[in-house]
Amino acid sequence: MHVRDLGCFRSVAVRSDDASRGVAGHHLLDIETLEASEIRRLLDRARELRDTVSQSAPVLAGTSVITLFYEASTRTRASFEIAAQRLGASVITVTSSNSSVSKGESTWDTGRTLAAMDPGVIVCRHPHPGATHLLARAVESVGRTAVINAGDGAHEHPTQALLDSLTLCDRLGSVEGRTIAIIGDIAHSRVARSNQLLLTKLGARVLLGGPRSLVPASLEAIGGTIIRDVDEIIRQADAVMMLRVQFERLVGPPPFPSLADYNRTYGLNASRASLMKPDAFVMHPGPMNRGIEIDPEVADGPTSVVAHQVRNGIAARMAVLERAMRKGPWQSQGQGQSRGQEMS
Amino acid sequence: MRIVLKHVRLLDPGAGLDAPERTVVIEDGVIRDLDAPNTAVGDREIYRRGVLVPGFIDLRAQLGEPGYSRQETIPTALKAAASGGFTTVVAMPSTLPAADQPEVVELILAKARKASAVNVLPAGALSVGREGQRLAEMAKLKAAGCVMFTDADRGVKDSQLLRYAMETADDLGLPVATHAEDESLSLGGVMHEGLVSTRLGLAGVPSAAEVVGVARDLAIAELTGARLHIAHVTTGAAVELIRQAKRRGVRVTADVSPLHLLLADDAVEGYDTRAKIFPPLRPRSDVDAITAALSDGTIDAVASDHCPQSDLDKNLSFNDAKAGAIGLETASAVVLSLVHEGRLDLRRAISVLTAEPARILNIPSLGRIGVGERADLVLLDLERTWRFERSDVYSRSSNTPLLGRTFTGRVVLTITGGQIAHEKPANGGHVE
Repeated sequence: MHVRDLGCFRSVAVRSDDASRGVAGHHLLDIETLEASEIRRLLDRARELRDTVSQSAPVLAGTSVITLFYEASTRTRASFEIAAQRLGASVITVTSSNSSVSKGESTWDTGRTLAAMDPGVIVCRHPHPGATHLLARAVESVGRTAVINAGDGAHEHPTQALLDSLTLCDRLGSVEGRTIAIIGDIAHSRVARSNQLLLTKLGARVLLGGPRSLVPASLEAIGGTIIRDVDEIIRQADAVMMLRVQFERLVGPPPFPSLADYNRTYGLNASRASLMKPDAFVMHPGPMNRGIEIDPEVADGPTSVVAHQVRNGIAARMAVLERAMRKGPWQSQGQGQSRGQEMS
Repeated sequence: MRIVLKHVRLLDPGAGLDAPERTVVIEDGVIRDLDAPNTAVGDREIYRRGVLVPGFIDLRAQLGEPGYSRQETIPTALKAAASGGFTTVVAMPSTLPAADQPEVVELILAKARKASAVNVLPAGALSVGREGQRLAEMAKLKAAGCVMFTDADRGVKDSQLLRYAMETADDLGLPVATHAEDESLSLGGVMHEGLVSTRLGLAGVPSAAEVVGVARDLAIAELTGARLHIAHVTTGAAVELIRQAKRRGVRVTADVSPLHLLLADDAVEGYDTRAKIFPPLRPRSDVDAITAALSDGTIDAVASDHCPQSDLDKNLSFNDAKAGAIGLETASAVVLSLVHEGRLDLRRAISVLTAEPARILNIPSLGRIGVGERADLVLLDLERTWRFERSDVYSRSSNTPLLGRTFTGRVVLTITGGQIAHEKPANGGHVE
């Protein structure tokens, strides 16, 4: 019997029979706590899976993957669900509107309820930073389910950063020593945070740009250097990652005068794109707001790798799901190991 | 009931009193003798090493009733108060309904009298419903027993209303206390805006929100000449404004909460909702600045900022969790630990919990030790190192980031109105 004292949270007893049921999965809650070596392994495995996808073994057969989305999503959820299916898992989709969330169930209770059904993995997106950490604690209080963060508010979106690096490496060989630009509403962007962390861990030079109201100086502490002149960033970059303005996270008066004004100073239009180095290319995590941060001729032009990013999303998430279930190259690890702090 | 305390050091910085090895006699609720022979007898004779100081006065606590009894009740809050050495507590008007009518104030006082000998002084709402639209009926509230006016944790947005509130209250001889905050700058924020909030992706409250609020409130105090008390100052920049205002002769006082003296914004790491409080925890540089200001007198007092929240309201995402922490049990321990660390002089530490709050409330009979005075006394063991455990929580809620923390210096006995309101066993909770 081991009792975790969660302070104001209720004390949770983890029963010893839970611990004896075997090895628990791996959460993936953020890039911040992921080692560079682990990132490289995930990228290597994603490449293997992508190149052998037709003959990849259904290593997650018999496993259930629940996608629990408290926030709208097109590509992330579809990508996770396809990745899970390709690995042979069955997929259960739970969204806030079709679940007990709409009846007022808390994230804590939803986590415990789903974990009690003993799925292998819960993939969660939530509008609040840290909500997937809360979910992971709830899940740990019941069983061994792994939690994967599919985006928690403005905090992190680890699988997006993995698929972005997969894409960058496809074009650049390696990101080490390369200059990667991130331009837009970085303050509210989980994609930016995860990319800043991941790219810095892999030795890339990260340049950050955008209006001061959406790119505060404190962002440099996460990784990268702010340059206020966007044209200068674009001239230096090997790849330019454009981010949309996260209107849904803005409170109070608009932080810039108008969309047109924003587009004029920060938008990637054809003339600004012409400043890019000859082999440089344009990325966007989506969804795009055409005519604001990126103009259609750039989004659909020859330098855009947006569709490639989306394709890579499936492979990156397959690797993450395997790791979560300790399958594939992660199989040998953790057999017989204890769960660490939860069940030690 | 006659209580005799033997071999105590008497310390009352407000009265300039510091005497070793005294025997103190308390009878019929008042102090009979401060220098009795050690052969004095009583119904209860207490031999405990310690420092006997005036009972502590808390300038700000939410007692839960009426309206929030799931979080706290007046009896549990007053037990918590006694355990922390508080013999007087100013009850915030942030009840449901708000304490903007004498009936609500009378209800609070009646419940308090029934529950405990701890002295409750109600603060009246500054505006009706604490909504910042119209002044509450201050004369009626004063007649019912209110000792100050405040909208508690809500800032007064309308500067003209605040001006009228200060003028009206000052005419009644009572202070106004403000939560100084520019709410447009803090809109949406859930913690201090800085490196930690940026990394965690949490919306921030910049220090400037407090600085703007304090600057405005000081300007209105200067304009009206009325007395202003600024609650829970958290930033070095605001301290500087208060220091300058005091030099100019503005009638301003200020307090700080214990958590802001102890913890920095990195306590939020891991999305720990127990560390979600308002105003938010600030960076270490601000913690140091307000500690220095408490020591040099720019900040006048320490107030518990007791704000109970149930687990239901804390076991949520950081955005959804309610702000606040309980503080009555630990406020004095935090202050005594500053003494132990050499960051605060012992006399000053006792003053900011006794004579200073009494001066802010303008109640001279409070916060001092004297023959014939009401026996509100606290016995401290300054050497005692102890760990704050769940069993030390008397509040109905246990929302505090300090659980499990070790302190040096502890309240071992609280006497209020001549009755023992709290007593620690001689070796209880002692950490070797």
